[in-house]
Amino acid sequence: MKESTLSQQPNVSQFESHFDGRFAKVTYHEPSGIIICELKSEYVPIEHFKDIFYKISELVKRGISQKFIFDKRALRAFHQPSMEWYFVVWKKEMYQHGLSLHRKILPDEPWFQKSVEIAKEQIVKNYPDTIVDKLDIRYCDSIQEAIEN
Amino acid sequence: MKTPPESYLIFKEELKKAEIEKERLKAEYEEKLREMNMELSFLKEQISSQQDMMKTTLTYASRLENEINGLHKQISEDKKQRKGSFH
Repeated sequence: MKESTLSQQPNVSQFESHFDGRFAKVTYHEPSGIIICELKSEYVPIEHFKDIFYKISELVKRGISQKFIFDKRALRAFHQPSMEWYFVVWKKEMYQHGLSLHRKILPDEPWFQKSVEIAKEQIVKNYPDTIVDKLDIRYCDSIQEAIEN
Repeated sequence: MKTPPESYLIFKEELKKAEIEKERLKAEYEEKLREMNMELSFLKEQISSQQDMMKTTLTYASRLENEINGLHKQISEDKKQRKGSFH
């Protein structure tokens, strides 16, 4: 018997493709309700960033809303307005569709991780009515770890 | 009316082919230029975004520095006050 069938959680290879574009690749596993978004570029312009997330919304609205894994390892520039929109608008809307588990994979660089922390702190300060306290957000090192935790 | 010589017809046909090829190359060049301009605008956005990241980080570091300095000042004032209270 294969390892993936022994485990309750799916293996990355069992995910289906939703789309694969220049800036991101989105896959999903319907039985477990998990969506994976892997960014492919050092930087994603805001209009493309929003477009990626509108496409992910389609899956969430279809009921694939157990967990969202956001792999940002390719990123080298953190675009504050994009992240604000993702954090304040998109996450809130998706929460209304049942998505509350978020797993994130950041680039290895400590300076990037610090920047994300500072930016997040600022967003929380600027938008005190966010639903962040209702979400289960965890940082992981790999996609498989994010699937399993 | 005399029919044009065969060489003229061949030349006319070649000219037509060359014009079609010229249009194709022009369209290809314009498409490449458009893609390059788009890449350039993405790169500009990326640089601006990285500069913003640096600004945010430096502002944060400066705020921390001020807070640490304020704390040091407060600690040394407290020490002075404690020393004074013994006499």
